[in-house]
Amino acid sequence: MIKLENVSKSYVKGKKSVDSLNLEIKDGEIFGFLGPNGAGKTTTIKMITGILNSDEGKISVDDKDIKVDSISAKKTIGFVPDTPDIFLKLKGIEYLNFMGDIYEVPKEIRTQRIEELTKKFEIYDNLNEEMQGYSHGMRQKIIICGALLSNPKNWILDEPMTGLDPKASYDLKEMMRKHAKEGNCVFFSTHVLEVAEKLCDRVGIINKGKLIFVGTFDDMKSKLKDNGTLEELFLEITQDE
Amino acid sequence: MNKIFSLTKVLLKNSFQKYDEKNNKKSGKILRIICYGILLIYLMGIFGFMSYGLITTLMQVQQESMFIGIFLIALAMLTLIQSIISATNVFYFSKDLDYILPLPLKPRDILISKLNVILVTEYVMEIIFAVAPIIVYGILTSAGPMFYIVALLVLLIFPIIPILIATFIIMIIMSFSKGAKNKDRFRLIAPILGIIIALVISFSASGTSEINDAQLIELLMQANSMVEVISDSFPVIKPAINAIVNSSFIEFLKLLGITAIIYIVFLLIGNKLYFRGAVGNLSSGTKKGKNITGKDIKINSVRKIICEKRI
Ligand SMILES: Nc1ncnc2c1ncn2[C@@H]1O[C@H](COP(=O)(O)OP(=O)(O)OP(=O)(O)O)[C@@H](O)[C@H]1O
Ligand SMILES: [Mg+2]
Repeated sequence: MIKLENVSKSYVKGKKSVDSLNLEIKDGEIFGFLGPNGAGKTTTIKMITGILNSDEGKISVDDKDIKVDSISAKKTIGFVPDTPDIFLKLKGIEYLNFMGDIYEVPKEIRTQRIEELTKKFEIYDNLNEEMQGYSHGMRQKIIICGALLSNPKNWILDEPMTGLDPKASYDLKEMMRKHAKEGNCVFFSTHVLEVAEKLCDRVGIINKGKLIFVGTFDDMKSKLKDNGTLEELFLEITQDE
Repeated sequence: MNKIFSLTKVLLKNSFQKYDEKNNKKSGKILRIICYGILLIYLMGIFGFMSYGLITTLMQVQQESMFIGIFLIALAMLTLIQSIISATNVFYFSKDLDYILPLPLKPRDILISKLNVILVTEYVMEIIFAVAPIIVYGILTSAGPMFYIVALLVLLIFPIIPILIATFIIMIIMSFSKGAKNKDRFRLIAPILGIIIALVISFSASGTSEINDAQLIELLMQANSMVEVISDSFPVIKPAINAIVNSSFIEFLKLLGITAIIYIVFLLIGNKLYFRGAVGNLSSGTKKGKNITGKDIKINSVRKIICEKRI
């Protein structure tokens, strides 16, 4: 469960990049976070994962405050950032072992899980290469494997499909479904409405830092008919793709 | 503890392998290792030879222990300068914090791991500059095995305080002047500073080769009074000198104790200084935060007019 209460953040004084955001993602739910470029999606995700401090408001993950109880909150999170350019001088296997150490994944489980995950994403054979030789999609995949290694309860993914080939994208979506079905929480941002439609139990739309809609995709569609501004935004999002 | 080790290892790999990025051919690698090896032996030779000159001169007046004082001060200075550069890179210019902060790590562990990275680079520096002088001193004074053990321990612990001082200075600069925004300027200054220091050292070194022994002793005496002054104001230098000169383990423990206390104090202050600044504003982009001024817009519109006229 991820809960945001009245969360605000400004990078520059007087300009709120995220403005009094209220949001609750329940267990067993896939939540899609939509919005045009610069809307504040990444900023919100960075605050949830503890990269940025919020100026105002409270964020809790599984009822643990990210500022107060940060270590135990972070342990429950599997995070995939928007840029997969992490520790590129490491070999794939070194990176995964590092993640295993940090999230305290026991050695026996680790080997098996690494094999399982990397075989699924077809990067098993590349594990002994340095990550700077990986393609964008391969980097994305290894980051996903690292994030999921400890089998965290809450997945937080910032535009996870970008750069993935159709098969990997399909596999990831299946994994997200399965994870949510097992009573866990999946929160991801995307520009692709189609993905949101097929995958999400609920979506939220953010624009200029303000959350302007939360509900099911069907709700959104019906609301679009009589709400001019939402329609405009919808167009803006769709035109991006 | 385990996590600190893992993070240190990863940070080190990520910063060190930078240097052999381009050619990964095996023959190239071997050649490079040989080149570095020769360079290392050459440098060690130079410093060993210089030390030999100094120590034998000082031995004429039974003042060879002075050498250790001068040596340690020089080492402290070198460490200080080098770690100012490493600390800016490790703590502020490497963009790894975005990836480290979401991990379930205590801020303190991150701080320690980053300090470890600097420490390892200083150890590499010590292999080049410090090992040969110590061995030469040991041989000339026909010291026993205890000397080498204590000297090794001192060399392991001694760089920590200069590193902490350097890091502290950088953190103060960064958190109060928003120095991270002048990244490019900072990057430029560091190597220039390095070159100037290297030139000064080599000039003064070549100057000393002309003078005779009596003058050299005179000079060293002066240097020694400077050592006295410095070691009085920096409480760690005295125990370090005494430990090596007298092969004294007790004095080493003193050094260790003082270092530990300063380390703990640093962690308490550094935690606030670093993470308040870093977590608060990870505005890595230099231009993003800037407001567009009227001037920029004007220039743009002027350009536009010019372009349009041309068309
Ligand atoms: N480091 C920064 N410094 C200053 N302003 C920033 C910084 N990062 C983001 N912003 C501003 O915050 C706002 C939200 O940015 P954010 O990255 O959260 O958008 P986003 O919704 O993730 O967009 P995208 O779809 O392009 O990924 C933007 O207006 C951006 O200009
Ligand atoms: Mg984004």
